[in-house]
Order: sequence, then C-alpha cells, then structure tokens
Amino acid sequence: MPFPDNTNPYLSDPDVRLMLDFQGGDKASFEALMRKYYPRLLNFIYRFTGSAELAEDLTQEVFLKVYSASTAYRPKSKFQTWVYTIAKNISLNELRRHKKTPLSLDEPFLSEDGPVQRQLEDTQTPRADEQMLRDETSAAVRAAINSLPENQRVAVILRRYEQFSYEEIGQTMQMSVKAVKSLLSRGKENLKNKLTPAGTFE
Amino acid sequence: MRCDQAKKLIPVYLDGELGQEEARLVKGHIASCAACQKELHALERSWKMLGEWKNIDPAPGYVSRFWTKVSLERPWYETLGQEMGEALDRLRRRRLAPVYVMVCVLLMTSIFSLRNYWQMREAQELAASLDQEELEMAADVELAENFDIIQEMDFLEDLEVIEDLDSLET
Repeated sequence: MPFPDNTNPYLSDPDVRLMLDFQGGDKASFEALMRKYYPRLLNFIYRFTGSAELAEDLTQEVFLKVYSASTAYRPKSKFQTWVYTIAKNISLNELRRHKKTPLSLDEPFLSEDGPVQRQLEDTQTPRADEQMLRDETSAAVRAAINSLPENQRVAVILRRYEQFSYEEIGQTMQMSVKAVKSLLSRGKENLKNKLTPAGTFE
Repeated sequence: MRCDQAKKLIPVYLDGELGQEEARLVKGHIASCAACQKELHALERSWKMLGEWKNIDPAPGYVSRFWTKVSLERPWYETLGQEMGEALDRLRRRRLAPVYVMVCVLLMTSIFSLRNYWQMREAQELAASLDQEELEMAADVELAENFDIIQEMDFLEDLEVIEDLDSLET
C-alpha cells in the first residue's frame, strides 16, 4: 500500500473526505459540509437547549470550531460523530454557564415567534381545532424533553430526531451501546410518564 | 419472562435493538400479558408524539454569516496572507504559462532597450561635458600664462595694471 493512511477506515466516509479537501485549501468542501450539517445541528442544539436563538449562535460556534480544528484534523471517527460531539459539548458548556443566570426554562414556549406566527395564520383553515391541539402537544413534548436529565435528553434527541443508531449514539456520547440502551430505556419511560399519564389517553 | 424484566426491555425492543433471543422472549411475553401490551402502546404513542415538535429552518445567509465571523475573529495579517495565497492559487489554476512567458519576454526586452538608451544618454553627456571642460581648460591655460604677473601685483593698487595686462604681455 503506497500510503499508510489508506488503512484508516474513516477515509471511506465522504464527509471525512470533504474535511480533508478543505484541509487542502478547498473552501467549497467546507461549505458543502456546512450545507449538509448546519440545519441538522441547528435542530439538535435547538431541542437540547430549548432556544432557537441560542441554537443559531451555537451552531455557528460549532462550525468555527470545525474550521479552526481543520489544520490539525486527523480522522479518528466518522465526520458526523465528530461534529455532533462538538455540538453536544458546546451546548452543555453553554447550559452550565447559564445555570448561574438561568436560561429561563419557559423560554422555549415563549420564543416561538416563527412557528407561532405561521400557525396563527393557519387558524383560518377548517383544521383550526386540530392545529390548536397540535400546538398543545408540541408544547407538552418540549416540556417533557426539557425535563429529562442531560444525558437522556441527548440520547433521546439523537435517536428520535436525528435517526442515530445505538452505536452512533454511543460513539457521539463516548459510551458503550449497553449504556445507551439503559439511557434510552429510562428516557423513553420518563417521556411516556410525562406525555401519557396513566388513564389520560385511555 | 417476568413483567419487570420485560418492561425494562420494551423500549429497546421497540427500536429493534435487542438481540434475537431477547427479542423473542419479549415478544412472547407481550403476547400473553395485557399490562405489558399497554406499556408497549403507551411507549409507542409518546415516542410518536415527539414528532409534533417540528424542525426549525436556519436563518437565511448562514454560510456568509459564518465567513464574516471567521474574518472578524482572525487577525488582519492572517486574512491578508490567506487572500493573497488564494489569489495566487486562482492564477495558478488558470494555466497562464504562455501569458507569463510573454510578460517575461516583454519585460526583458524593455529592460534591455532601457539600458541601451541610458548608455547612449551617458555617452552624449560625456561628449557634452568634454566640450565644456575643454573650454574651461583653454581659459585656465590663458590664466596660467599670466600667472607670474598676477602673482607679482598688489590687487588694490595695481588695479589699473590688470586692465592693461594684455598690453603688458606684449
């Protein structure tokens, strides 16, 4: 084999390739990665922190980190794993920083500007009742996810909204698949208790 | 399988992430246990409900906003260095070798003819300055010829004599 690097299994990941191309000076590769991951990371951070505004800032920060790490970048995982780990750590730091001056827990329900406006326009349609019910459900879901301990929250969001496999969650959160199983079991159980209290939906 | 054992496994079972044997046991238990069936349905329903929390769209222009941030966070000389590098790269990528050769040839030619021109100018100036010197030298020769007489005289007193220098000579 001409290059020892060819033994690196992560080189088959097209996104790792893009990152290496960017390392070689190709700005377009970086922008391709951004277009692919920015919306996903934004939503991941949004659901984890509960604030759309904060999510926008933190997602920018994730890419600044990726950018500045590019010169010393060596693929040690799939690109997705790497970038979600960065996003998770940045969000955790931010949440902990805000613990002293708490990021109000009800913010997610107040800062709905975008969605709420769109939904308000929809109230003219005959499905207004249905829409209102959906808004209530959405708010309940936010509250339920927000109430989960951090680790369970990360695992649940990665599984439910990012369609990660257990193995991918384990890699991103630096834990075994067994630990992921137990985390998700408890997370799902907690969500069930919040969202379908005994008898309510029977 | 007991209910408490099944209950723990059902969430993972729903994700299809149990081993074959465990999955078979859970499936068997659920088929015969109403309570665990109810548990499974509640878990399924709440998991599905999470879908009501919809995605948000990024604020438009996030890519250009990012590059602005990058340029603001870096010292100006780094930005300048990179931009120059990129400009060079762009030039290199355009295969301008023939143009470079042309420019080089033009440059060499113009340097060469400039050199010729200067050499010519120098020669002309030398010639011109030679004439001047010769004239001056001629004047000096005249002075030198009268040197003894000039040395002998007292400047103020013999002022008239100077006027008559030529006549003295003869």
